[in-house]
Amino acid sequence: MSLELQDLSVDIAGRRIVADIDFTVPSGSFTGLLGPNGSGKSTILKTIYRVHRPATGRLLLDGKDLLSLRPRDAARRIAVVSQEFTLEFDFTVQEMVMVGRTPHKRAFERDNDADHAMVDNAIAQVGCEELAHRSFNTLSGGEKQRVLIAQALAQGADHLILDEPTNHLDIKYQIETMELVSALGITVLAAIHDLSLAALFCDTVQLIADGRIIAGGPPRSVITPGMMRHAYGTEVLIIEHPDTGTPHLIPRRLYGADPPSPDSTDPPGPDSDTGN
Amino acid sequence: MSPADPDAGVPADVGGPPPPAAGQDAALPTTSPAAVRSPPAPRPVPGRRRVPLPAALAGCTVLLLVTMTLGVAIGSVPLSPAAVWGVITSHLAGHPHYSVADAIVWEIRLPRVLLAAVVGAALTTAGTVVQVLVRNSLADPFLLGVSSGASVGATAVLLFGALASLGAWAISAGSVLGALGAMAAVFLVSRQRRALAPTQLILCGVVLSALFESVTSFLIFRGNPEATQSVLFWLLGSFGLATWPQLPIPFIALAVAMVYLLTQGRSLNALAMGSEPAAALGVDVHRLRRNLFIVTSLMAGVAVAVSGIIGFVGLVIPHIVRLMVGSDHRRVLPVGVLFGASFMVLGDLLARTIVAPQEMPIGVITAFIGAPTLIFLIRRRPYLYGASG
Repeated sequence: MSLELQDLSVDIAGRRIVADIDFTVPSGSFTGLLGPNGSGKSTILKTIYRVHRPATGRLLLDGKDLLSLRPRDAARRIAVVSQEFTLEFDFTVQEMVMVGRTPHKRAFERDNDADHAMVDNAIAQVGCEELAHRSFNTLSGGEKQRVLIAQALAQGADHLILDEPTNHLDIKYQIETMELVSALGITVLAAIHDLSLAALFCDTVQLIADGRIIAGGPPRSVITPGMMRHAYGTEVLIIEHPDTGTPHLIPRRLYGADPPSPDSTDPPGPDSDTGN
Repeated sequence: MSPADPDAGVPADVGGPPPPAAGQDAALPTTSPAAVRSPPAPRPVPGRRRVPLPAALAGCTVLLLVTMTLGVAIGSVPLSPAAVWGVITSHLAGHPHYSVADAIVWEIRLPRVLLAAVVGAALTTAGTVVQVLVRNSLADPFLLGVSSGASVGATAVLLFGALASLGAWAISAGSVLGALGAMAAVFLVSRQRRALAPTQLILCGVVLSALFESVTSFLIFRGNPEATQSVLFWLLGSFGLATWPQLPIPFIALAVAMVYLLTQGRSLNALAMGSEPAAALGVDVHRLRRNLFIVTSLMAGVAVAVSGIIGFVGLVIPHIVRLMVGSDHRRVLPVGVLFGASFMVLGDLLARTIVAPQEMPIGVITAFIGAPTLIFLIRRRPYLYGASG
């Protein structure tokens, strides 16, 4: 039970967006997809859930070609929480989560007790019982994210794909969302912007730059100053997280960063000639 | 913080006490003050009120029967509901009694009421689906160019005698041809790499509609000034020329479309989440969007062909139905058919009675009812209509 990407390349409008993507998401693991804006993280994820078609390469689910599955059969195995979700229509939380049952139902088939049990279970798993009858559009960002995860859980898939699940969330919800996802016990592949957060929760990470994987493995081996320079073109300090020993990024100022001293009242100026 | 901010007034605590009613729909006064003041209450927060589906269906069926009975009974020669149903049952039983009342009910008013009902149902259904197709709750069935294309066809028939060999069917045929042409144009122009993206659909629909409207204007400009009045009348819509032979085609179109759409109820809900989430839910999004486009265009095209361009119904009625039963399309579609039909029958009744013996164009009635209703709905629920992004 694993998801394998073999030599995957994807073209959009005639341009190669990602090339030679080759890695495995081990069963039951939490794998993070890291990389700068526009490096191709979302493209890789969208190719797995069929928004884009690969130009070359293969996607294997348990050793079998994922794209040869019927869409609904694939959706029973892989659920997705996509980025920047907006809803034009008025659905309650319960109705939203029930939509997750779509790949399991035939035309005209009604919601049965098993579906309702799955939905209630999914809502309970993300701790949104209180919100079940609320309108989705009245929820806060963190609540919405939980409901979308519940919808994916109701899908009953053993693989979960998340595209920047902590975007726009405050620190409390970032941690809660990551804890929730890592406690699910299913295989997770997530594009994550915050490298320190990824290091704290992911078993393995894949680092992408310019559409290619430049490093993969445990966070400790990938999130290094050299790799960050290579991928992001910027200097960072990396320290060990005092609780977990995982790498933690400390951003540095580009210019004029002097440690504050008690007697200095002037903030460091943006003088670009300090040769830092 | 804008009123459109969905986060407004909702505390961000998931596992904790239920949020106060401030975040609820202002139109739901069901939260008692006590429930607001005692946060640790284990009771779930009162949610969105939904009319249960059987109740909504039963209520709308009764509404439709009542409006249709009134629609047949009221007119220059008033009839009692009993007389109306007497005539109808006698015809259904195969033993009609020929009389003045029989002729009025069976030959004049009943076909008209049935045509209004089927057109109302078709426009409501088409509007509901187009709103999902372009992911915009302010879309209407004519957004995709159907009505302006039909105008070109009908105008060509009325002003220049095109398709004259078809006799009484020429206008319908002309508007269907125009609608199909417009639909094909919008479809081909907005297609990008086998996808019908919502934004492209809206833009191409709007642009091509404007183009077809100017073609209509050009035809009117070149045409006979006396004939332009009949064009204007046609553009505003009417059921005044309803006859029995006109009924089968719209009924069959509506029935076929409804059967297909009801099989796609879950997929429509998934598509309402967006194209990419729908794909992730196992929906073949390209095929679904293409089929929905064809089904709605045909339904709107047939409706326009038999009754002209009747605005606002396909925009406002889906909203009202969504307010009643929520956005689950397995509920919205069947309730919408009944409610849309009732609304149109009532609208037609008003159209032919309020300035009797003259007849008001039905499009004027639906606009006068529809526009204020829509504004009321938008002002009442700003978070929903402002949440597009």
